Amino acid sequence: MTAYILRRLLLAIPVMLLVATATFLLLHMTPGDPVAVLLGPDATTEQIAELRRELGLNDPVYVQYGRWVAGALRGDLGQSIFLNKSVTTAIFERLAPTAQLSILASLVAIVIGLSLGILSAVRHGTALDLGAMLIAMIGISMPTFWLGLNLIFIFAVSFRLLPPQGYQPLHEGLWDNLSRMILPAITLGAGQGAFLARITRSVVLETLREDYVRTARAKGLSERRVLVGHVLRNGLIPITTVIGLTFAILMGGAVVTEQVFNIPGIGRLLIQAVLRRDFPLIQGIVLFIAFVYVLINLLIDILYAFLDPRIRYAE
Amino acid sequence: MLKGHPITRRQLLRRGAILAGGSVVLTGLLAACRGTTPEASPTAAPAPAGQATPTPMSVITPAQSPTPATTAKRGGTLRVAIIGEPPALDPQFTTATLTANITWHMFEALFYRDKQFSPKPLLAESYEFTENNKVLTIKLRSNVKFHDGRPLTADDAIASLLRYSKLSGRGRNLFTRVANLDKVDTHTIRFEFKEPTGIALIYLAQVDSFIMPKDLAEAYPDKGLEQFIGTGPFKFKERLPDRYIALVRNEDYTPVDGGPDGYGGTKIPYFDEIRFFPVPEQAVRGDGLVTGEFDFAEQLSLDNYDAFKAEPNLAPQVTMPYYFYGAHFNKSKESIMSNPKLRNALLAAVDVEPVARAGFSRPEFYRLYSSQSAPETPWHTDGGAEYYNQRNDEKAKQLLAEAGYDGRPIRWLSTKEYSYNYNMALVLKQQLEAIGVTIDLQVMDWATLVKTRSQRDAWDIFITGHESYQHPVLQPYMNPTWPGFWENAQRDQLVQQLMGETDEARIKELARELDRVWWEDAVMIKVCEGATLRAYTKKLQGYANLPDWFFWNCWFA
Repeated sequence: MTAYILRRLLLAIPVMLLVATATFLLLHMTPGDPVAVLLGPDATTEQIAELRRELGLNDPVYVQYGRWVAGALRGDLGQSIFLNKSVTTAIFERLAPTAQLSILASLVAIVIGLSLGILSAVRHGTALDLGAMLIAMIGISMPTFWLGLNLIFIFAVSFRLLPPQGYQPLHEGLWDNLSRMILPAITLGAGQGAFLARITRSVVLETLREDYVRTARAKGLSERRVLVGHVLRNGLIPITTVIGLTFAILMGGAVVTEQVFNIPGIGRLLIQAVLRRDFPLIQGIVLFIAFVYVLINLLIDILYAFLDPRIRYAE
Repeated sequence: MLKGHPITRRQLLRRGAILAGGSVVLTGLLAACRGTTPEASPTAAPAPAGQATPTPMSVITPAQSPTPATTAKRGGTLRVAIIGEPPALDPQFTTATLTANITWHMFEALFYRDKQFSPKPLLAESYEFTENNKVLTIKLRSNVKFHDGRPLTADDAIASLLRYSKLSGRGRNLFTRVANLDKVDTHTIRFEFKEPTGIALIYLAQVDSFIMPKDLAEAYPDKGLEQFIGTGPFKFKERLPDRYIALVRNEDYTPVDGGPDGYGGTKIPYFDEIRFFPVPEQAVRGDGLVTGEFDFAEQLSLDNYDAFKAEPNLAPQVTMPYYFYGAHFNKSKESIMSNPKLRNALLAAVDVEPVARAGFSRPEFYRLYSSQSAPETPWHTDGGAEYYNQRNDEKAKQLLAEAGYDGRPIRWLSTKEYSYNYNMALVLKQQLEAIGVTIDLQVMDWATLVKTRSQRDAWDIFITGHESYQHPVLQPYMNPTWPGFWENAQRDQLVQQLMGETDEARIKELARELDRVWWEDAVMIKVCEGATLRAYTKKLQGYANLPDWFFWNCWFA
């Protein structure tokens, strides 16, 4: 197992390098100048040219790329043009809100997804199934920012139950922190939950047709034990995969929600970096998100072995 | 590795990728909705311009304010929703408006702009022009202390101004005329100019010419400040990027006498703390205001004006003078618009009213006049007014023919990041196509637009806004390297004369000539002045509705 994990981690290096190269090239093909944004609208062409030279932005792309790779190999992702700090520091500072939001949103997604999915599979073909899948369909189709703005309008502006925006670190008060996380977590979790519901339904439906389920029923097991002990247990592998990927998507894809709810997380950092063409920062964040994906995929694969004793990884 | 499972991981990954792709699309959409470094306000609204300035009292502070109000009291934290994270907290380093508006609570310049936007002494106590405006002697106030307790001296002023002369575009501009900047004594400095420079005070009244301690100025000669020590009524407390920027009251602040006046005069800090929250989503700034998360919010949607008005606890403010908006022509020889006949043809065709309405929705939110400067300023004139709002298709077509226009597409850069920009471009495009011009409207994000417009061969027209309350000489398009690339000998001569002058009547005359040349050379299609909408809780007292916001002399009822 250890060898397997090591091998997988080593394999991650070419993946990350590929991601980094692609991002670097794409960024440098995109028009837009960080310096023009930094110096403000009234800056003159000479001033812009001067600062570009100082920041090394006038060097050929391969020189800039070489410099960046050399730094990255030493663990130095460079310096953010706008934030006056290293890219690594900038990312780690924004990690807490995004991680918390991802965990809470995943919880929302799991609760919604599993319950709707199982319900509609078990009550397959009934009005309940239809209703649950209709809800899931709406959940998948609804744009995040639209749902977010509506939740703000209903719960924050109309009923004044929750604050509309912002972030308070956990150590500044549990309720202050949670009350600001509820609406974004629902916004973010709803779409993923709907996706999870549809997967869960199809997995459970397929498993229900398996021979061993018929056998279990024939043995006289209660429907509940059939469902929990046989169907769900065997359906867990694909469901876990989806949950893991959901978490990875949330870690890197909370961009819209963080922007709407004004949460200072990775997603918002990314948006700002893109709008300002803060090349090193964009590069760092994309690499970070790629790393999260690689890591979570690995964790899922390891989890498989625990969930299903039949799965063994070759040493 | 895996076998016997109904859905393979590959399939799942593929579905996940579709979902992730969806979020990327959304991101793009969102990015297209809002930006953080505006050149001009995206949305706006006008108010009874020139509202009375606040009349705070000095019950607590030792300084005497001449118009004491009985209600002003100290305390409280003011929460302000701003449009985004400022690029830096150093107005010498960046020209972003947001940076200037936050930092002038901490930093002060030698002069300030009064209600008519004319310079008055702030850190300076007095000044004198001699030798036909070629020598300017400025005496500093002797009772001013920096936030770290050290007294303000001539050395600090000179070091700060030298940094200004290198970092700030305006500073460089002013210092091309400076032969010498010397210390006369501990509290007196002396500028010696190569030519008459009566305009110096205008430059020294902008926040980018602020004074910091000498060692700080010398420690950051060519990059943004990381320490913030000024002389202003508020002091830097902390900056948590994307969370807030906090300033606290400067207990040792010594205001000048004479009462509040425009952006200066007697300034009294009442709040214990001011927190600026970057809230890029316009709707969320409004919602936060309605729910009491914020006490003040800027750049709100004009569409919500009535809704804010209906809120019992909110006071919406339509702010004018603000920015004037128009379409700049690329006048460099690389562009088709370098042909003045063609520029004049386009100018002749335009009917500004529908364009202004597209940009700013309601007549209360915009004003139509030809001058580069707002009626509230000393530089407002009717020079060249006959070129404004001509609505003359016949003349336009004739000029078009004379210009030899062959139907080549005119490349127009636009952005949806600021709704006024795209909306105005659409209506202008329609009007110009009616006279037979082909417009190639290219929509892009703001950062791309800023980059593209600096390339002389990449575009022909773009829209932006400029402060209508700024001295015309300081407008960025007066610089031949600013996108637009306007070069004109008559303009150079007028600018030169305006820079030398201190006589008000003569300045007005020159400003009229400058307006006229600006129109005759068809520098841009000026459309209108557009307002910006701000709103605040009625608890907030003493707020002066000026083009740039500030919160000294403000308190909570």
